[in-house]
Amino acid sequence: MIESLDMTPQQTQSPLLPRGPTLKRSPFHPRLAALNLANAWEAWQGYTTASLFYELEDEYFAVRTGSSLYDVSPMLKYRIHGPDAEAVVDRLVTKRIDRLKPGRVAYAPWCDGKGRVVEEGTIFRLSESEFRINCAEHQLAWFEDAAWGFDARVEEVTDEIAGLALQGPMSKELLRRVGLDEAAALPFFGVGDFKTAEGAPLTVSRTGFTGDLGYELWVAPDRALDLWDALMAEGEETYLRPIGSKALDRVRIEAGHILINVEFVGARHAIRESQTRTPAGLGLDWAVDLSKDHFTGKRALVAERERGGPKKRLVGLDVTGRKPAIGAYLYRRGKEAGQVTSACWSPILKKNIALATVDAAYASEGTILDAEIYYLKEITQGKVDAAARVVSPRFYQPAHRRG
Amino acid sequence: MSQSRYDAIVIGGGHNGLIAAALAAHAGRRTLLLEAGEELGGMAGLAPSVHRLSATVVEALQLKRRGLAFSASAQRTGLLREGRGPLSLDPNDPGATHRAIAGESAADADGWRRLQTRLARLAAGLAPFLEETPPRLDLADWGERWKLMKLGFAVRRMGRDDMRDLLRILPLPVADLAEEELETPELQGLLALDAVMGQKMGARSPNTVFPLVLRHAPGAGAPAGAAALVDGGADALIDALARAAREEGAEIRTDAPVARILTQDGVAVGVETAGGETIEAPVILSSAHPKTTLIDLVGPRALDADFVRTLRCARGEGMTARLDLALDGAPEAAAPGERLVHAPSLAHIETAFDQAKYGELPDDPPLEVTLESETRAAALVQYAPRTLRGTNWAEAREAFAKRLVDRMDALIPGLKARVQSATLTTPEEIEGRFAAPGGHWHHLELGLDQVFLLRPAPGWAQYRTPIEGLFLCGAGAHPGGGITGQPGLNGARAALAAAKAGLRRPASADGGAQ
Repeated sequence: MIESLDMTPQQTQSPLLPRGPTLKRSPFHPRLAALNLANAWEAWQGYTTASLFYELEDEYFAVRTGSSLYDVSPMLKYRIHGPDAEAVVDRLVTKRIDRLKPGRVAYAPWCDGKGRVVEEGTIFRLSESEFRINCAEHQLAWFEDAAWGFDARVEEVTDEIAGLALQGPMSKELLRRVGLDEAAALPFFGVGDFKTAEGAPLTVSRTGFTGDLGYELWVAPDRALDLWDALMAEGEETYLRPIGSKALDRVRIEAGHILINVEFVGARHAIRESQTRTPAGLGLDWAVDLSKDHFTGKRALVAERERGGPKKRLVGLDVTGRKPAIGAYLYRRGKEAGQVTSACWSPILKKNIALATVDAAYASEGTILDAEIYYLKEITQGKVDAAARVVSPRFYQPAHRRG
Repeated sequence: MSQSRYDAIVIGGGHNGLIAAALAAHAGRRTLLLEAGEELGGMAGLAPSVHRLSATVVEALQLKRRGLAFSASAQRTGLLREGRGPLSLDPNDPGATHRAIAGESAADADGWRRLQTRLARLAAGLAPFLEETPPRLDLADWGERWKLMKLGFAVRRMGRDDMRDLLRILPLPVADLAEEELETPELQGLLALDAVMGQKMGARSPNTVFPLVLRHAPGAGAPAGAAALVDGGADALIDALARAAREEGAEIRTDAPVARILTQDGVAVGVETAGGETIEAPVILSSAHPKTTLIDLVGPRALDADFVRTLRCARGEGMTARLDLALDGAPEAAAPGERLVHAPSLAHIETAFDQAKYGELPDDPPLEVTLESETRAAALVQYAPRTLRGTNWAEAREAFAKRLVDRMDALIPGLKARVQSATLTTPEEIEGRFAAPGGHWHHLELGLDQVFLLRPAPGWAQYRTPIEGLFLCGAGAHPGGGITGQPGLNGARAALAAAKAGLRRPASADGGAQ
């Protein structure tokens, strides 16, 4: 198996698998592959990415109590630059971008003309005239449409930047140990350019998908392994572990972070209108400023507000029992009220939590719904009925994440 | 007296803009019309005749009282045949037309008459759609549902056979219909040229029967099924409309290009002229091209990105040029007022289109020549691409004009000797002169994908725009180009109804609508 790692993607092509080119390997792949004892991989935007390295519980607790590395190189990255870049991004997203200063990051969704969320992501303002947007689905065509008629250029830079999410309460300490004190001191949602101990340029943002204290480190692909090695060399006392997508999924549910194609389908890809959501339907009202200058979808969102809001809303659920309510149907007095989109047992909270989409009438906190949970009982399917209380989806919000 | 605040501003002084201004003024709105050019009329001046003016417009603006007259007889058409005299079709003399065609084909003599009646009948079925704001496809809205039902009934009233006929032939290539019904190549050619004139379509392009049927829609001053010419053509019509607008109280300024439509938080509040003057109004009606209106004057910053893309992708590449000839007298072979058509066969049209669609000038372009008077003739040249391959209009223009005059001399003997000067107006010039991107004289192609509910863009066929208070009233809106006045009529009605229903936010306390 190890031998095959030395094969080029072309060599691994097989006529038996006529599904296009094999998955690309991230710049961190040689290290990830060596550590992936579980040999558990999955595809992420054309890249091979680790599902699991060795033990889900340990990887999870590394994020929550130590520090963790997750390879975010496959994340899609776009550079928008030029004199009108601010106007382009401001027209694109639901938040005010004229107020976003260089060196700051904003999280925001962007919508189509009907106000339906196309995608959401983080927006780095790198300078007055340069932005970088990170997200999970291809957006080049949409961004180019947003920039048409403006003096600004849009480029996809996914393959030009390797990314590593360093997350966990010990992440700040780890950055200090590798000599990145200034980066460690970045404010929450700050971004800046730094140099590694070896003198390589490095961009660090105080961002992440875990809800914990954490950073994302961005380097040129040929510097990726040096960065990995430098961090791992100091990882002993900060309980540093590489983590896979399974651990990440659990911590992002705890943090209440939504995931495209799980909590909603992007407006540009959805086959069914019913699978799309407006920002309010995803609990992102806070990220929408309807008083700002025009942005794509604004008229539709103003109309939605005037109608009294979306028909369905995303909520958090605190479910009784221990069975994760994965895909559970939700009822209110025997009437269907919604469905769970993500669920897990939260070890840190000792709670059975879920994200769900429910009819707006049942979205207020404190509402008790009945969850019909199906689970695998060896070779048969079991079913339990559990009470689910509507709560804020921000299940885990430790104070140290901003500290 | 000029002021800086009105109830309504109309952009563009073509026939649709004038109609909208006159109707707004008639409804009691203080109205200002701004025309970029020195003269009123816009693209109407490119049309050699006016034969399908809306009777509703004539009635509402009392155009007959204001000097508009219709000629008692319909336009004659001569089908040019090289080396032979033209085949003459005179709607005023069906017997002579029958005899003339019978000389070519006995079957076509009856067939032609039958086809004309059939097209007129089908066009009458479409007529209720033409002066109606297209419904929104919002079945949750009972008003919209009712409108759809009414239109459905209107089609149903045609009778089952006609309805089937209409639905079958509308999307057809006109060549298929021509071959089904006729066998004389010149008649087939005429039918096809009438269908594709002004459009980027060939005889074998799909949905070319639709524009042909539209051409037979009833107009003012004529009994159903017949066309009545406006005496004096477009010039007389523009004069009458300008008179009507002024008499109703509208102020008209020429040489007053609009530089920007001013918006505030998604609401139109006025315009800024190229001279830097700001003029406020809560209602703006634009008869300019939808792309000019929204992309250039409003600008993408105030619009949704997907809406701008849809608008950008709307098809409207001009394919028709106009050649104006100054004559020192009518050639013997033609009589003033007559329309002479050079479209000898379906293959001839399709071949010319094939060349043009690849950016070449056709070797022998189909022509529609009208002798406007003893001293003036105009030829519509189908096809002249907006963008030429391997050359440009500055280089090709003169040679092409000369080639056209030579060709016409072979078709209309004695013409060239009478020509004092020949001026070619290319799609590129139409684009520049009338701020119509693409230089298409219907603004946007009249294909089935760009009419009714879909004109100018799907979801925006109600004359409204994403900018509250800004309405479209030009050829880019339903029912499209040609000199019908219907976009101006419908656009003005939609704007007035919206203002009346209070759908827009109230104007500021000290001005605006009373």
